[in-house]
Amino acid sequence: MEDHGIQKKLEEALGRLNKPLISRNRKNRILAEISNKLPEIKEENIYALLIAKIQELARQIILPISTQIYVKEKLLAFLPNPRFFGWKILARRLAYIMIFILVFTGVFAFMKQPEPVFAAPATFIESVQGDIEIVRGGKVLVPAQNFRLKARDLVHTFKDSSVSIHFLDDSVARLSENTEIRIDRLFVNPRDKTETIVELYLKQGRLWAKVVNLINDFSKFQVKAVNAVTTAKKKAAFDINVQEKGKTKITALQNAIDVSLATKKKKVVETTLVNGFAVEIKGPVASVPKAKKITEEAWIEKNIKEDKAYVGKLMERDKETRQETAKTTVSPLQTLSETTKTILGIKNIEKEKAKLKAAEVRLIQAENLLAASASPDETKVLLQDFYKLIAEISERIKQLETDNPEKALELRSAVEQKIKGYKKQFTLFVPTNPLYPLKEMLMEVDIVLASNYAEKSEKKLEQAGEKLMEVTALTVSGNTDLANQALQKYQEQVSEIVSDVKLLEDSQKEEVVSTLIEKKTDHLKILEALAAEMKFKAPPVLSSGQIRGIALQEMLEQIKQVKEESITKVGEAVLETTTVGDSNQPSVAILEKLEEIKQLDVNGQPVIDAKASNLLNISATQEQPPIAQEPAVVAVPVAPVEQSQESVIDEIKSDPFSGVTVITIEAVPSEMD
Amino acid sequence: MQHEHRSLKTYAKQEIENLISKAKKGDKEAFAKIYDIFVNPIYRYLYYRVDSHEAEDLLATIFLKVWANLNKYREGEASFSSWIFRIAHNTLIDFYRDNQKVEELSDAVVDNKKENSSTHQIETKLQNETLKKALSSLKESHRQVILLKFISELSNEEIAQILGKSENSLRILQFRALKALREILEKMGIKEW
Repeated sequence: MEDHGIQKKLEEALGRLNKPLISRNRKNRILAEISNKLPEIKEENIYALLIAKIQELARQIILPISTQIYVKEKLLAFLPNPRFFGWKILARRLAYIMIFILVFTGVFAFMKQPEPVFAAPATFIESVQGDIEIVRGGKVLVPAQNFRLKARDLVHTFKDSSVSIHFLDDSVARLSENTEIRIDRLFVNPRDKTETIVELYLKQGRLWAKVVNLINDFSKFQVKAVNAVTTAKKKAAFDINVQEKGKTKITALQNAIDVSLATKKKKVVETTLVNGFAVEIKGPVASVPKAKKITEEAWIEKNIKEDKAYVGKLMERDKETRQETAKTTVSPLQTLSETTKTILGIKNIEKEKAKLKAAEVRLIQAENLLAASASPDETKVLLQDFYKLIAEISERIKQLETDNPEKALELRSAVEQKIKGYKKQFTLFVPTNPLYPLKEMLMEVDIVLASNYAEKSEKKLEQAGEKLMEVTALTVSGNTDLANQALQKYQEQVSEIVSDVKLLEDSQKEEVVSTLIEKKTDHLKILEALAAEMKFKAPPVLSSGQIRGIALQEMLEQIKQVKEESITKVGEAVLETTTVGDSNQPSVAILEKLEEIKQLDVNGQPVIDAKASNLLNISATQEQPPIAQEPAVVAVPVAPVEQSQESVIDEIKSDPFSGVTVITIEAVPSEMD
Repeated sequence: MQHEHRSLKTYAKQEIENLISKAKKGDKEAFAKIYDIFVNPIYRYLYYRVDSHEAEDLLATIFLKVWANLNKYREGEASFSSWIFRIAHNTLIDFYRDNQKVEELSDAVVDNKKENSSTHQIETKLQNETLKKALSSLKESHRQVILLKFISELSNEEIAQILGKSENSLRILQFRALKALREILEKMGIKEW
């Protein structure tokens, strides 16, 4: 209390004291001192202002959002796993990315959206049975049919429930009961709707995927599981079953899929699985796979049946879209007066676009006649008109490329988008389809649109690959004779391309041969899938009454022959490039590609045996690039089985000390369309 | 598709390190986030050095190199920002080496441009294009420090790691670089900013 009183008195005394005040003179003296220092302060301020200005200007520099998205999508699409690949392979992929970026930022930036030939790409619930849940941003939703799905959605089925999902690339996935997936990526290039990416993560349960009509090298449908990545780049059907953590089984049911497996020890296996083969991974490297019986036929049969119905539905939808496209009105620019068009410099382009519309109308008219099996002569004339009109546009593009490159690109883009749209739809047609002549004509038109020889060769090679897919489809449906013819046609196409290479100028040879080797890798996968199909269909022991069996055996032999001959052709083509330059050797890029083809692995086994490898060896003395060390794989294909039989898998014992990864490859019946 | 508009500075070191750790295991989504964070700072760094189309091309190269070399990045040895900018810097050097025609502008060229360019006679305020030209006539060490410090807004510690200099010598370099830039801008007739 006493202290408090003293403090209070002290405060009062201090309050009574006179406060020091600054005199006017003193104030002026201080101001003068400040003024003397002003230049110095000003100088510092200048730099502060300059820094602020630089920062302000720099913040204005932002990569356009559209380019940011595009560069990112391309990067992610082309990124291999860093554990598998080095910079060399990445650098090669970079070249592709560059092309896409260049095309996107440099070429398409000024272009108008092409008219759609497609149904609008969307991902939605096609059908649902029982209770399913969608988790979106933490919220639980109960979807019904046609519910639109987005990237990052979690889809969960419960006991006795299932769901069918239609993806933006027209693929379909069916989830069995107690299955959980996450939709990781849904991408469609707004400028080229044939460029799509679908990425899913299968957390648990069982997923069937039917990839219907991917036609673009960039596109993929990918399903990841905890220890496996399955990718389809073309038409395919596959089944993935994540039974429990670390136990995943992948079965290919149509064509070929690329599979990467990672064990807990991060050993990685990459292989291509062809129809009728399954691969299973069971966690630790040293675990020994157990013999298994295939007892789940009901799921496979059900899905194969549903796939057929689904493809039929898609074809019907595409047909309706084509009819609508043919009816669509002319573009708004075409309604302008002729004078205005001339002033705007769009007259010629619009004339060509009108020609494109006329060509489309001819195509649809031909389709209607083919569907009605009426007036073959009229159909032929219509298809010829279609070809003629596109050929004229192609000529016009070539002229414009010199006079007005921007307009040439605009026109080329418009035509190519249309053609790609039809290609995606017509890829479902096989030679037994009455509408097949449309596909054949479209292939010719595609070639006539090629801007140079390299592009022409690439397109021819794509078509040869498509022919091989047709062979598989025909074989599956039992049309062995037609399959045989298609296979011969494939062989002719490859021979023609190689013969053409010999006539090319040196400057063009390398690019064409490089594409040839790349595409050949894809073709070999399809040929392997085809051979697998044959093995399943042909009875192992022939009796005199098994005519179909004999034909299949013969075809199997023919496939083997085609494989060898086409590899020889690749060798011949590569030899042609050795005349380029002074070294008398193929370039390093070609040699690297040859190594890739030599290391092609299907069902865990090399596709190119020693004999075939020799066909590819250009010179025994030339230096070969070092062969990348791949993790060891043991893959054991088991003898093919009849559909009604159960397959018994041999037990395979792995060496727990060698670090060898063990995969069981099972044979299952395949009855795909 | 989620796009980040946050500045690089607003990311906690741990936040970035977590993404790197996931990306190292092959998580592309994590890598996509790293891309979102660094795309604009690196684009800016390139923008003032090369043509904008070339900057876009180099950007893809840089991010592919980052992906390919992620496993070589060690936390603690250097910050991720300095590591990624080091890759950007080396890529740029490779680019110059491979494209000899892309010569950096000399003082004389800049002076010439000043005399001949009507834009420069009219413009007295600092604009991005002028800044780009002024930067191109700076000495390489001066240009580097301005790009990294004021344009990419890295810390002195990070810049010291990229350029292999001590932080003290970096401070001196920064001042000299700013002084040189100011002189060039003044020569170009830019006296206000």
